[in-house]
Amino acid sequence: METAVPIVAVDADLADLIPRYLNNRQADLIFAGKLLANRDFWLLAGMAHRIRGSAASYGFDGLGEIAQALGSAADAQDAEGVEACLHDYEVFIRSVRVEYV
Amino acid sequence: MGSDAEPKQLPRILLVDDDADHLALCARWLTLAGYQVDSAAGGTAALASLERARPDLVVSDLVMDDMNGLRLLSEIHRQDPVLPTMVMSGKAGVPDALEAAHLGVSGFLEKPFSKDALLEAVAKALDFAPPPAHAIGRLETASGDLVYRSAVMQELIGRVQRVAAGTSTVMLSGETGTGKELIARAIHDLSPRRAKPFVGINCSALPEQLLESELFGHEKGAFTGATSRHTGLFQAADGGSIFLDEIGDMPLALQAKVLRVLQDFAVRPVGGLQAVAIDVRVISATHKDLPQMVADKQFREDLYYRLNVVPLHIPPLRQRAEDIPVLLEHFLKRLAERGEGMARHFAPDARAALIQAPFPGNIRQLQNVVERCVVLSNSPVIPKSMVVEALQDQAAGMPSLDDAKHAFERRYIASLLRATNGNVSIAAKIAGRNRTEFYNLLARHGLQPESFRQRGG
Repeated sequence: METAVPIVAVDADLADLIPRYLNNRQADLIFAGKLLANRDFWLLAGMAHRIRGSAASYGFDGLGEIAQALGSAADAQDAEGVEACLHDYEVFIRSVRVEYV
Repeated sequence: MGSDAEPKQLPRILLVDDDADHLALCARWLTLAGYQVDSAAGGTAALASLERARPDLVVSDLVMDDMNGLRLLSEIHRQDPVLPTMVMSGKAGVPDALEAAHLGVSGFLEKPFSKDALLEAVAKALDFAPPPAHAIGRLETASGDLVYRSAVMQELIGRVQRVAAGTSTVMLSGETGTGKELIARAIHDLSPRRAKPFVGINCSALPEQLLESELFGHEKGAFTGATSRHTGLFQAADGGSIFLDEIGDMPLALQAKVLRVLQDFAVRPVGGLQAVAIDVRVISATHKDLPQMVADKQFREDLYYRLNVVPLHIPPLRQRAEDIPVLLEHFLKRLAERGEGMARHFAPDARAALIQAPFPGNIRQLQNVVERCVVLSNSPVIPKSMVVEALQDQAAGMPSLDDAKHAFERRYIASLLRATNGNVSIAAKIAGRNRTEFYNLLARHGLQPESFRQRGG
C-alpha cells in the first residue's frame, strides 16, 4: 500500500530548529528500538509522552498522533502495538516534507 | 507616572524544560514575541540561575528527570513568594493540577500547545504579577496617595491637577466606594487653598434641621436647644474648601439656602441677622443621577448648574481592573506600615482571583477584602482560599434591610445626642418622639446620654 507523503507547514521563524528536531526524532527511533528489545516499556512510554508534547507544537501533528498511540501501547506493555507504532513513526520520519511558510 | 525617559524593561521569563527541543521552541516563540528569555534544562539549573536571571515569570515543565516541576515551583516560591509561575505538562493528573493550584501557579498549559496559547497564558500570568514601579501612577497629597495604572484614571488625575489650580466649583460623580472624598481632598491639597481648612460633610447622614445648623451655624437661642453660638461649616471652611458629599440627598429647602451662599458668597447663621462673607471653594459629590432628579423636580436646576461647573466622573473599579494590582500593593504597604497582621503578599493565584472579582462595592470593598486577609492570615503569603472566602463573605455580607435600618437609627440617635450635648428632651423633640419613646430607643441601642455630655458645647 502506498503511503501519502506527510507535508508539514512550519513557521519560517523556526526553520533553523527543524533539522535538529527531526534528527533528534531519528535518534529517538533508534533508541526506542533498543528499549523495545529490552521490553523497557516504562522508558518507552516516557519517550512517547515527550515526543507527543513537542511534535504538534512544532507542527508535526501526525507524529504527535503516532507518539500518543506509542505511549498507550507502551503503557499497556503491548510489544506488538509498540512495534507497529514504531513502524509508522519510521515511515513518517523518513517521508515527511517540510514547507516553511 | 514614572519618567518617560526611563527605558521600558521587557518582561524576563525563565523557561525550564528538560526536553531540549521543546525548550528551544518555546524560547524562540517567546523571544520573537519580545520577551527576554533565560532557558534552563532542568530544575537544578533553574534554581541556580534564579538569582542571576531575576525573572518576572517562571514557566516550567512538570515532569523532569532531575526535579519534579512542582518541587521546583515550591522552592521558587519559598525564595520569592510573589514571583508568578506557570506549569506546562503533557501528562499531568488531577493531583498534580490540585497541587499546582495549591502552590499558587498562575497558569497551567497542557502539551502540546500552540504559540498563541503560550503567549496568551504568559501575558495573563504577567498581568497578574505585581506591576513594576514605573507603571504605577501616584498622586501624592497631604491626605494620602492616589495610586492608579489605568488610562481612565490617568486622564481623571490629569483633570484633577488642572482643576485644582483654579477656583471652579467641582461636582464629583461616581458609584459608592469609588473614592470621591479622596479625589475631593486631592483637589484641595493640590490647590492654592491647601493651607486652609478642608471641611467635609455627608448630606445624607443628618436630618434637615441638624444639617442646616451644621452648614450655616446658629446663634445662641436660635431654636430650642441652641444654648450657645455655633459656627457653621461654610464659615469653618473660609479660605479653604467645603466638600458636600451625597448632595443629592439634601432636602429641597436647604438646597435653596446653599444656592444663596453660592450666589452671594455669604452665609447667614440660623437666627442671625448679619450675613458673613466667606471665600469657600465648593466640591460636591453624589452617586445619584442628578439630571434625572432635576427633571423629577427633586433637585433644584439652578443649584445643579451652580455646582456642576466642572464635572468629574470617577469610573467604577470594574472599568479599570488594571488598577487592582496597583491598589493591592498600596493597601498591603499601608497595612504593613500600620503593623497589621503578618501577611505581606498575595499568592499569584490569589492575586488573579482578586483581579477577576467584580467588586460592586468598588475600592472600599477591595480595601476591606485586603485588610481582612492581612489580619486573618497566619502566613506571610495570603493564599487563594482565603481570598475566595473573603470575597464570598463580602458578597454575602450585605446587611438585611432591618440590620441596615437598625445601624442607621443608631447613628442618627448618636448624632442627635452629640448635637444636643446629650439633652434627651431636645433630642427627642428633634426626632419627633416623646421622651419615653426616645428612652426606649436609647435602651435598644445601648446609648447613654451622659456619655455625650462630655463634649464641649
